[in-house]
Amino acid sequence: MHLIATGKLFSFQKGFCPTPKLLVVMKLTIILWIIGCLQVQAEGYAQKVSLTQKNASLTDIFKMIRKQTGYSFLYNDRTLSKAKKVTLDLRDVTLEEALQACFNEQPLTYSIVDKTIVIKEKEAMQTTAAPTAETPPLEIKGQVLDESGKPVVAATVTVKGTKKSIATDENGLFTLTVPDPNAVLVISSIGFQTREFKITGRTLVSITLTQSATAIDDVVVTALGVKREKASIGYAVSTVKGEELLKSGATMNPFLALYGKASGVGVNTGAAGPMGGLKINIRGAFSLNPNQNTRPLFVVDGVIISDRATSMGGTVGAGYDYGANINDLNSEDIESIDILKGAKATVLYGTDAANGVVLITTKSGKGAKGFGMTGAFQYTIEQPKSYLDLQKEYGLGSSIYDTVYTTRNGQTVRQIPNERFSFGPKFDGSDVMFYDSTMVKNSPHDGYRSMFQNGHSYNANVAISGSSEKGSMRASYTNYKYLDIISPNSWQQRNTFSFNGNIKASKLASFELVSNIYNIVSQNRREQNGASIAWGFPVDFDYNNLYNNLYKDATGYQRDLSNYGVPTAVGDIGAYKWALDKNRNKDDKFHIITSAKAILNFSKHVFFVGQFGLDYDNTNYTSEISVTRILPSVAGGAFNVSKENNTVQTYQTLLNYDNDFNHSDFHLSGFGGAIYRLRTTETIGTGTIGGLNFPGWYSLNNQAGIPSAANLYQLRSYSRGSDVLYSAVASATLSWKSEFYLDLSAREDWNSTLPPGNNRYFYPGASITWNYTDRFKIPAMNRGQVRFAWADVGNGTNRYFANNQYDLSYISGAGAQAVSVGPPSNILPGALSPERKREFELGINNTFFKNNRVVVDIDYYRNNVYHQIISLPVSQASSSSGLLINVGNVRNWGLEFSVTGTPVLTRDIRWDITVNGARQQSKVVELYRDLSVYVRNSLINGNGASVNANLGRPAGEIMSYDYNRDDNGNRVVSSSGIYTIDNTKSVELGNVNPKIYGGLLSDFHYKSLSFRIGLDYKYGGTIFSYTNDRLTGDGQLASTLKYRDEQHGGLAYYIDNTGTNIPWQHNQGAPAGSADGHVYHDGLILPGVKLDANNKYVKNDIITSATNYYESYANDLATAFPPDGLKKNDYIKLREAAIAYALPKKITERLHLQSMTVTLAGRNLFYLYKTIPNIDVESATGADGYVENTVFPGQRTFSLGLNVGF
Amino acid sequence: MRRAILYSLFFTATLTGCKKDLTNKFNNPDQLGSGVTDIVPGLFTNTVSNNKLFIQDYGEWFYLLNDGLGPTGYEQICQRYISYRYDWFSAYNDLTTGNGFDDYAITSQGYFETSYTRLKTWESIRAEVNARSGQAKLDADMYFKLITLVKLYQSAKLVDFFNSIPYFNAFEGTTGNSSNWYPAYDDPKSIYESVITDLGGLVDSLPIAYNLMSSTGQQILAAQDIAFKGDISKWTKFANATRLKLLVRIAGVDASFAKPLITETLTKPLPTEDITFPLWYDTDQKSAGGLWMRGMYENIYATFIPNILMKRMNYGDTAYTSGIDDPRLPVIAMPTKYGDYRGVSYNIDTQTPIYTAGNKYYPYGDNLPSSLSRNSFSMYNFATIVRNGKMPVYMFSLAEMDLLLAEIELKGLASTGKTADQHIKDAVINSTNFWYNLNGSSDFNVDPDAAGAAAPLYPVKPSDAVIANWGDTISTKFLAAGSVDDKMEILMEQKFIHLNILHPYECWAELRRTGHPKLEPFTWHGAVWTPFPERVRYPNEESINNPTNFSKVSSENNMTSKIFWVPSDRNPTLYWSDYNYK
Repeated sequence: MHLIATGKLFSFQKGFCPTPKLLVVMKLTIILWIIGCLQVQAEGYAQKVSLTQKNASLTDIFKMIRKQTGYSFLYNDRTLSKAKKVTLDLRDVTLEEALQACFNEQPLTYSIVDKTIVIKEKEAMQTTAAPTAETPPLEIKGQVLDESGKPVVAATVTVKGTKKSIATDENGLFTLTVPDPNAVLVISSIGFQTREFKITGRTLVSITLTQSATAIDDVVVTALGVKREKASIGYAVSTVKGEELLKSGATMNPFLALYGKASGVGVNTGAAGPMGGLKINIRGAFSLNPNQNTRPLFVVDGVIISDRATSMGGTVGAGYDYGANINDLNSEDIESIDILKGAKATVLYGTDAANGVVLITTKSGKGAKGFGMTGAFQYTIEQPKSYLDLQKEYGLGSSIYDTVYTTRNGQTVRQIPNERFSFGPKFDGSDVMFYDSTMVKNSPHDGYRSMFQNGHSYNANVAISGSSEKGSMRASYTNYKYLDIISPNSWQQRNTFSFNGNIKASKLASFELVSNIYNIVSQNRREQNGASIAWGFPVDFDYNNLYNNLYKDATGYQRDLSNYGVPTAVGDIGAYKWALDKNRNKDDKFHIITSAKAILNFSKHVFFVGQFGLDYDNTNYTSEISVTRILPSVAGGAFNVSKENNTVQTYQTLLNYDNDFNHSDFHLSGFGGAIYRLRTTETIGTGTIGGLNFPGWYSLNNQAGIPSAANLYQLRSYSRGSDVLYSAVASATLSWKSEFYLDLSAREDWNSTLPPGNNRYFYPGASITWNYTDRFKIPAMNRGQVRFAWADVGNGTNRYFANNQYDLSYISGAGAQAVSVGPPSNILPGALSPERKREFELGINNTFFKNNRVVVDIDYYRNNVYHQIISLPVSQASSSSGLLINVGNVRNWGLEFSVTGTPVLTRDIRWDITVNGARQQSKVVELYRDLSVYVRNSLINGNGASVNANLGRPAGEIMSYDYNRDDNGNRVVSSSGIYTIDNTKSVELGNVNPKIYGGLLSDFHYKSLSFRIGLDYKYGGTIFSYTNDRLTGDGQLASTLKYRDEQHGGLAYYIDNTGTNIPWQHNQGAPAGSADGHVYHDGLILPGVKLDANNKYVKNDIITSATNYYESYANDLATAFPPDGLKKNDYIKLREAAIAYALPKKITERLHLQSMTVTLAGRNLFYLYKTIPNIDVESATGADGYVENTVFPGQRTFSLGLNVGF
Repeated sequence: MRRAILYSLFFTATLTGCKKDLTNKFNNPDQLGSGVTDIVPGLFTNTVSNNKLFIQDYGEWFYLLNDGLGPTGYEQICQRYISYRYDWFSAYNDLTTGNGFDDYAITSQGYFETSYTRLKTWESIRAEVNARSGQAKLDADMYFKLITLVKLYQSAKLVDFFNSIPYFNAFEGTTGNSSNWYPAYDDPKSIYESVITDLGGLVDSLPIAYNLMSSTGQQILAAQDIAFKGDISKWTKFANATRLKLLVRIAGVDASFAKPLITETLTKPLPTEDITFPLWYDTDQKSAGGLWMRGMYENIYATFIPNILMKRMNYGDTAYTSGIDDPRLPVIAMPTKYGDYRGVSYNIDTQTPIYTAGNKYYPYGDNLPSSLSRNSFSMYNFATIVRNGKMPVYMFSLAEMDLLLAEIELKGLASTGKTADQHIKDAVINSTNFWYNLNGSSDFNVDPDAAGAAAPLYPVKPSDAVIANWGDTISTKFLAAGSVDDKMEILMEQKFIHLNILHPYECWAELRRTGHPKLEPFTWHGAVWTPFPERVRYPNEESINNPTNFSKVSSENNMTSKIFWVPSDRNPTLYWSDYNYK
C-alpha cells in the first residue's frame, strides 16, 4: 500500500519509454502482488445450501436460498405462477445443485447474473425425448465453451432427471456417465444461459454456452445503483456494455468510444485532442446561464465524480484543456455504462443530476472463469489527418505583380516579401532570397503538415479475478502511454490500478470495496494556435528551415527579427514550434475513486445499505518556460508551479424493504434514507517574477525579478471553495404481477449554493409501466411495454453565484496602507430560489420474433426548465453587470429511438445492426417582464454576434449582422464591388445546438471472426470557424483560387487613374488608360445589386478583385464577419471499424491459454459526409461545440490488439 | 423516556449543525463577511486605486499604441515609424469601418463600461450613508462627497469620448428600479451643466464635510485616501480646476452659461502646485500588473514622437541646443543614434526610403545601449516616462491651468488678473519644471536595462533664467500671432507639448474642440489624407443590453459626429497643407 500511496511507482519521470527490462519487472511485480491479494479468496464455488421442504412453493424456496446465500431472485410473477410445488431434501449441496433440483421438473429455467438469479420460462423446444429402450450407460467426454471459444470453467453439467452432475475443469472439460444415448445434459454456469444438450449417441461433445446477454439486458442499473428488471422501468435508460467500448480497440478513456452508442447522448471532443476534455450532453441540456453546468452527473460505482466543463485557455493550471476526472477512467475496467436521461430517472440524485446521470460500473470478479486472469495489449498508431486545404499556386503578396527585389552581395535578387496575404505572384521555382538572406526556391511547401507527426500509444492491461459464494474480487493494472501528433515532447502516460472486492461476511452482513487509482502524467498539451490562424500558414517557406535557421540564431535561442522584415506569420509559427520544443508544461495527477459499502440484512424483508464514496484528485502543475535569449543578456523564462486538489465525498444510508402480498400478486419494494455530499476544491501556486537569471535552471531560486506588491499575485495564488448537499430520499415500487408497475420517488435537498432561507426544495417523480403483452398476446411480439414518467426536479446554482459578497484586498507599499473593498458586480434584487425542471416522457419498448431479433425502443420527452438562475445582463451604465434573478422558462422536447435488429442468424453467422438517433427541439416560452431578446453569451469576443435565447424562438440561436440587402433580399455591394454588412440589426443566422444526432453499429460474426463498423452522425449545429474565415481572408485556402485567374473563372480588367477597375481582355496588353500598365485577371462581379447615381438599386456590374473579395473575410478587429462565415456542421463519420479473430482452441491449448483474440481496428477513419471544410468537425475550442479557433489535424488511429485469457 | 430525550438531543444537534454548515458554505470564505470592517473607506479606496479613472490602464494603452491607428496616432502624439511595410496604414483615411481610425482601445477595453462599474462604489457608499445616523453618517458622508467628485470627473470624460451617455439614471442600478437597470442616454450638454453645478457644490462643501468628521474618521481617511492622504484642500482644488476645465470646454457653445461660472471659479481655490500622487509601489513595465507604461514598453516601436511635437521643441538643426530649443526636449524625448532629436513624419512617401536605406531602430525597451545606438528617430524618453518606475498619477498641473487661463483671457471669458501671454509664459515655466521633476524622480539610471548608459536621458536642468527666456520666446510668438486662431495654435502647441503621451485623451478633446494644433497630412503612395476622427463608438454591449435607449443615439454612433462642445467656428483648417510648417 505504501507504493500506491506515493503515487509514483508507475510513473516514469523522464522520457517516454522505460527500459523493457524495468517494464517486465514491474509488471511481474504487479501480477504477483495481485495474485497475493487474491489468495485469500481462492476458495472455489462451493457455497452450501440445505433445503428440506414438502410441497413448497418456489417463492418460499427462493426466500430460503436467498437467506442462505445472499443471492436474490428476479422473476415475473405471472411466470412463477406456472411453477409446480416442489419437494426437496438437500443437505449441503451447491447453489447450482439446489437450483437444478428446484427447476428439474419445472417449465422454467434460470440464469445467474452477479448475485441475482433471473427466472424465465423455458422455450417449448426444451422437451426431452424419453429413452426408447433399455441401453447400457455411456461415458461422455465433453468440453463447455463460451461464444468466443473460451473454455467455461466450473460449469455444472447435470444429467437431466438425475442428481448426477459434475463441474468442468480449468479447460472446460468434463467426463460423465449417462444412462442412455438419448440422455439430456443440463449445463449451467454463472453468467451464462442454462442450456440443455441432447447426447443422441455421441460420446465426445462440444457444448457452447451463450452468455446471459438477455438476462443482462433485462437488468439495468438505476439511480443510487439499484438494479432493476428492465420490464419494471418507467423511463428511458441507455446501457452500453463495457465490451462495446473495446470492440474497436481501447481508447484513452471510455467516452471516446461512446459516439453514437446511446440515443440522446451527445459526445464531442474538441481541438485539444484525446488528452483534452469531452463534452457529454444529454437531451440537449442548455441553460440560460452560460456558466451553469449542463453536464450530466458522473457516478462510478456509487461515487460522485468531480467534474468540470472543458476549455482551452482557461484558468486551470497553465491554461490547457485538462479535461475532467472522467478522462481518467480506464476502458478495460468498465463493466457497463448506464445513462439516465430524464428527470424521473434522476430524481434520486437530486440537484447534481439535473442534466442526467452517467452511471459507470466497473468490473468485479463475479463470474470469473478459469484462473480469472486476462491480459489485453494494444499498440495504436495515431495518424494526423489534416483537412486544411491550402492553395499552393500563389505566394505572398497583394497581387500577381507584387514582386519584391533587394540587393544581395551586390546583385539584385528577388526576395520573399514581408506580406501577410497570399495573393502574390505564382510560384515559379525561381531563386529567391529568404528572410535570413539565404537563397531558396520560390516553391510551395507543405509547412502546416510538417508541424505534425505520427503519434502512437501503447496499452497493456492485466486483470485477475476470482469468485466464490462468499464473494468475489478483481484487481487490474493498466499501463498506457500516448505520444501526441503535435510534438515528440507532447505525451501522456498513465498507470491505473483497479480493485473491486465484495464479501459475504455473515448472514447479516456483506461488504464491498471498490478502489480505482490513477497516476497520469501529461506534458505539453495542445494549446490554441489562433495567432497562426489570424496571420496564416504561408506555403512559401519550409517551416523547419524557418524555425531552425531564422527564428533561432546560432546560440539556439530566439533571434531578434526586428530588422529582418518578416511577416507576423513567421513569428507566430516560430513561437508555436519554440513552445513545443523548448518549454515543458507538465501536469502530474494522482486520482482515486473509492467506494466502501456495507449491506446488513436485518430480516428477510428489510436490509440496510451504507455507503461511503470518495473522488479525490491532486494535480501538480509545473511550467518550465525557456529563456528566449541569452545575448546581449538573458531574457524571458519562467518557472511556475501550482497544485490543485478536488474532492467529492458522499455518505449514503438507505433502509430497504421488499415483500410480496396477496399470494405474490403484489410486490412492494422501496427504500428511504439520507445522503450527504460534500465537494471541495483548492488550488495554490507560485512562480518566478521577471524571468530567469540562468537558462535551463527551473527553480524559484533562479528568479530574475524582484517581488513587489504589484506582482504579489504571481508570487502566490490560492483559491478554495466547497459546497454541500444534504438530502433525504425515498422510493417505492408497487407492482401487480409483472404487468403493472407504479414507481414513486421523492427527494428533499438542502443546498448550500442557495441562500439559507431558500436552500431547501422538494422534488417528486412518478412512473407507470404497463407490460401489455402480459395481457394481450400479439403475434411475433415477445414483449410490449408502454411507460410514462413524470417528475418535477430542482436545482441550485454554481458555488457562491447567489451570494453578493464584497471583495477585500489590501493596498500596501511606500506610504500607503489601506483597505480596498470591491462591491459585487451583480444586483441581487431578492434572495434566489431553486430553478426547476418539469418533465414527462412517454416510451415504448417492444421486442419481436424469436430470440428477440428486433428490439425497438422509442421515447418522447418534453420538459420545461423554468425559474432559471441567471445573471440577466443589464446596461453596465447601471454600474452593475447583471441582475441575479430567477427568470425564464425554456421548453425542450425530443424523440429518441433505438432499433436493434439481427437480420441474419445462422449457426455460423450472426449479423446485428443497431440504429439510434435523437431529435431535439426547444423554445423559449418565457423570459423576464417584457424582455424578448436575451443574449446568453457572445459568440466570439468583441463583435456583434451572440448566442441568444429569444422569446418564442429556439434556444441557442446565433444572432449577428446580415449583409445589406435591397427589398428583394439581394445583397448590396459597396462602390468597390464588395458586399457590405448591415450593422444596424442582428438577425438569426443559425443555432449552436444540433437537431438530430445518433449512430449506427453493425456487428457481423462468422464463426470466430467478427467484423464491426460504427458510424455516427449529426445534423444541425452551426459553428463559427476562424480558420475558414481568416485563411480565406489571407488567400491561403484552396477555395480562394476561384477567380484568381482566367483558369479559375477570373475576369480581366485594368485599373485606370481613378482607381476604377475597367473590364478588359485576358490576352491583350494594358491600354494607355491603365494607371500601372498591368492587366489583372482576378476580377469578379459579385451577384447582387449596387446603388446607382439616382440612389436606386440596380444589378451590380462592378468588377472587384479576388483579393478584395477574400480579404473582406479577414476581420482582425472582429467587429463583424461576413454572415456566410458561419458554417453548418453536419457530418456522417465512419467512427470505428474492426476485425477480431479468436484463435482456434488447438492453438491456444498449445500456448496453455484459455483464449486469445486478435483485433485489428481503426477509429476516426473518415467522413462519409461533412459540411464544414478545412477543419475536423470536432475542432471547437474547449469542446463547446460552436467556436473554432485552433486548427489541428483530425486524428485517425489504427490499432492492433491482443486479448489473452489464462 | 431517557432514550427519547437522547434521540431528540441527537437530532436537534445534527439539524443545527447541518443548518450552520449550509449557511457557512453558502458564503465564500475568501470574500468579506458582514461585520468585519466598515466598508465605506475601502470602497472609496477601491475606486481611486482602480485603473481607467486616474490611473491609466495597461490594456488600454497597449491597444492605443499597437497599430498606430488609435487616437494617439491620429492626434499625432505618438506614432510608429511608418513605412510601406505596414500596409494596414493604407486604410488611414477610413473613419467608418474601424480599419482606419481604430477605437478598439476604448471600445474593447471597457472604457465605457468600467467607468460605471468601477464607480458602483458610489451607490454602495450612498446606501451606507443613508442607513446611518450621527457621527457615523458624517464620517461616511465625507467619502460620499469624494466619490461623487470622482464620478463627476469620469462622467465628463465619458461625454468627451461619446457625447450622449447615460447619466441622470445611471450609477444606481441597485435601487431596484428597472429604469436604472437600463438607463436612458442623456443630453450631453445637460450632463456637462449638471456636472459643473455639482462640482461647484463640492468645492464649497468638501472642507465643511471634512471638519464634521470625527478625529478617528480623519485618521482613517488619511490612510485610505491613497491620493492625497486626507488633504481635502487638494481634492477641493482638483474639483475647482476640473470645473474650470469643463467650463472652458463648454464656453464655445454656451458662453452665457460658462462666463459667470468661470469668474466664480476663479474666486475659489485653484491648484498652487502640480496635483499628482505617487503610486504605493514602483511600477514594473516588464511583467504582469504593469500600468500604462507597460503598454508603451511592449509597444516601444510605437512610441516615436511625431514631427508635430518635435518641430515645436527642436528648432534649427536636429541637435538640442539650450536657448534655441525647448528646454523640455531632452527630458521628453530620447536622442537618436546620431545623438540628436528627430521626429517621425506622416509623409510616408518620404519616410519609407529613409527606412529602406537602413535607418531603423531597436524594437524593445529592454536595452538602452541598443536603443541609443540603433534608433533613427526619437522615442519618448525612457527615463522620464516609459521606464520611470516612480511615475506618479497625473491629475492636474499648473501648466494645464495656465493654458486654460490663457485661453480665458484670450477669448474674454473672464478676467484672470494676467494677460494671456503672461499665462503662456507661466505655462512654459511650470511645464518645464513639471517635466524636469518627473525626470529627476526616475530611477531608470540604476535599472540593469539602462546598462549604465542613461546619462543622455537625464539632462541637466537649465537655469531658471534659461527656462524663463524660453517662456518669453513662446510668449512672444503668441503675441506675434495675428488672429485668435493663430494664437490658439501656439497655445495648443504648448498644451500638446506639456500633456503629450501623459494625457493624450485631454489632448484629443482639446484638438477636437479647437482644431489646434494643426496636423501633418498623411501621405501614402501619393495620396494625401486628412482624416479627423471626432469620437469613438459605444461598446456593442449597449446595443444588446440597453437596446431601446441605445436606439435613440445609434444614428450618431460613428467616428465622425462631433461632441456637443465643438463650436461652429472651430478652426476649419485642421491640417497643414504640406510639411513645411513651422
